[in-house]
Amino acid sequence: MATRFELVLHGDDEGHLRSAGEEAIREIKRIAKRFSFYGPASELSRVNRVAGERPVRVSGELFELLSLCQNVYHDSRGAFDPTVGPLLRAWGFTSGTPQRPGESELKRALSVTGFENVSLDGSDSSVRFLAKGIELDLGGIAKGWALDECKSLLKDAGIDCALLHGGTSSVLTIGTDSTGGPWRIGIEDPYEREDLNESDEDPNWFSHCDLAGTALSVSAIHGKSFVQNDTEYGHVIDPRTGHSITGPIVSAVAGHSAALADAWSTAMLVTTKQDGQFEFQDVTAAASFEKVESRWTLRSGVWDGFPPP
Amino acid sequence: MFRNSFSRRSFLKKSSLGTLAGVLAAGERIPVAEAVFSDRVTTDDPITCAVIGFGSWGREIAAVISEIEEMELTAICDHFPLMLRRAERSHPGARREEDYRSLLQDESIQAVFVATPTHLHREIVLAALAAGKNVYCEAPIAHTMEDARAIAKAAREVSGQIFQAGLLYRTEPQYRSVYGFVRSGALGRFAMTRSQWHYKDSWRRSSSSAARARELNWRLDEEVSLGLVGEVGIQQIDTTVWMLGALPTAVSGFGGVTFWRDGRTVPDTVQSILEFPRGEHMIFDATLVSGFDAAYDLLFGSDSTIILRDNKAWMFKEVDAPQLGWEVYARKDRFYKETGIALLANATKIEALGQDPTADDPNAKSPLWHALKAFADNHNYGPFEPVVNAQLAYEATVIAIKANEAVKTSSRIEFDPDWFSIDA
Repeated sequence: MATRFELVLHGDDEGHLRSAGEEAIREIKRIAKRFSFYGPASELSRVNRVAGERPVRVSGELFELLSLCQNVYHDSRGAFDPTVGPLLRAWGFTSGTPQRPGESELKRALSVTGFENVSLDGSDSSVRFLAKGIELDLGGIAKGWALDECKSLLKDAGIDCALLHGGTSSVLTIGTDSTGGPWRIGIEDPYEREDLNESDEDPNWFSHCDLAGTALSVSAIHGKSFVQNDTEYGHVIDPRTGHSITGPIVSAVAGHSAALADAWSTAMLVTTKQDGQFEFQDVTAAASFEKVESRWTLRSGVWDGFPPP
Repeated sequence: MFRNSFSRRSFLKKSSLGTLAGVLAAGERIPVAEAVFSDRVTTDDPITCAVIGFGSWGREIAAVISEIEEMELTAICDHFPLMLRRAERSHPGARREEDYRSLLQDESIQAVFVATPTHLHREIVLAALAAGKNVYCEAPIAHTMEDARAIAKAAREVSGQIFQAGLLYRTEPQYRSVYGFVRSGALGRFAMTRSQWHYKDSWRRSSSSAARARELNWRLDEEVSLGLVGEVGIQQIDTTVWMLGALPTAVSGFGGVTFWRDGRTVPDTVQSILEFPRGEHMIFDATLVSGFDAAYDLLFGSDSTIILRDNKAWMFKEVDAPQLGWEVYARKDRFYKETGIALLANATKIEALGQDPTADDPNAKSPLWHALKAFADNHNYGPFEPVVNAQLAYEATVIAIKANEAVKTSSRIEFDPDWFSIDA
């Protein structure tokens, strides 16, 4: 996942907290190895190599995660799609030399994109790709999944007050904070991050979310973009159309599951008001925001207290 | 369930794999009478497997069994309900049991994998062998000589059943390739070996139940734990024993609790020196305090030194070493001021297949995968003597027990040759 994970555990017995935290970190490493898109020996890579030829029996965990992907793919009407890899390659975002692909190349990439080409068989936990060239990249959900697994392990170990995050973009809490109040998580303006002053009490937050045993995931189109023929192209591709999404956009999703929040925050980046309502499951709030003339505005979804009165 | 479209098992089941592989490799004809025929009745059905002990290593074993086509994870046993709940999620198709005895009564289960704490192996392994199961037992096989002997004796006495212990490197292809290389004399005269295992971790396990936490923390209980040198070091010490082709004559040990001062008495840092009959020594150290440089094995010889790490190997030649020829064309990697020649298992074969032997192998498997695959092959094509049989497992366990004793008493212990005899 190439991300730094951090755990804040609160309790009286430091040794107990340490060993519980170690187990959680081991679990994250295990998940990262198993679901890695880039590691050739990972379980996911094996599926990507073989499932186009024949069904591949997978672990219960991977099957559960893929079933979750299938649900969000369905509920988001394709806005979340872990098979988007060929499109990212067509746009050159995986090679470091991004450029707008030609229509035929885009068409070809779109033909091997779409989770409807992934068949899951619960009778023997197997996966099969219905088209050749399909590949799964779980980068949009695995971080949240790892946090959910950690939470379950930590709760089993008796931890009842904790905050876990992966790369600061996925946050999951256990219980309330040590004072009994919710964990308040700020949603930062990524475009102002360079100006962040550590002494600022409220550094560049344009909104926030209060968590008590729940999760928040934030995604942004920031950083990797390129300009071609006076048009800026962002590194997020709408899996439904193959087009790149441009502009200062941030999405935020809160809910009980960090995996679902992660997947939906990826989906919300490409959705607009024209997409209408979605059937969210286990999601308590979902929105995307766009910065227009230095002010953050709601682009899609609903967010409590936004815009501020 | 998946079946091979072309079943090698159907083809091979009448003869032993070892014999056939030898014939094919040599390309020679041998008299039919020399082939060893197996009387085992095999089918194309996968081997039905049960894992006993669903802690972190049991979970690894279960995951690997699920990856191997010839094996099917049928049941998981752990007496802690939380572990069974985890088992239900990760292996929903496997039956779950709290008592291993009910698994052993199930005639449909052919193989059991024992991944419980070391001191619980004896009862389970003996019962499993008596129930006619093929058994894979984690190493060390026991925490006392008495238990180790009982297990090894029972394993040796059953006929037609497999007993394989989890000494992982003896079935790992890269290590096996280096073994052939070392035994061919490419190192020159052996000088010494050095292995380390460094991992920053408390080694403590947590649970919301105090009773369960005590059970989980058996590694920190000096009554039953073989400590770092026995529980972890056994793998790397076994590698040296294997490469040198000799059992140690003495072991010295040192250790202490240098950092994790939470009331434990089992050292968090240990050093061991093993002496071998031709005068070589092995230095092993392990620590839970520093993760620096992780784990590796070094084999020092008069012509070259080999480092084994992460299932990869490199050779460093001495300036006065004879030319081997092929090393001119081999891939070389820089290690500070040294140049390592990459040693790659099956490099010629990979090249012949038109693949790049220096590229990361997408089909690379873990040492555990190879160990379990060897077990599966033995089940399907054997029985033949496992690469890690009862005698080798027993010897490695004796060394682990005595090395731990030396660490605990900061002393030097000479091995009585009788200790290595299962019958003594």
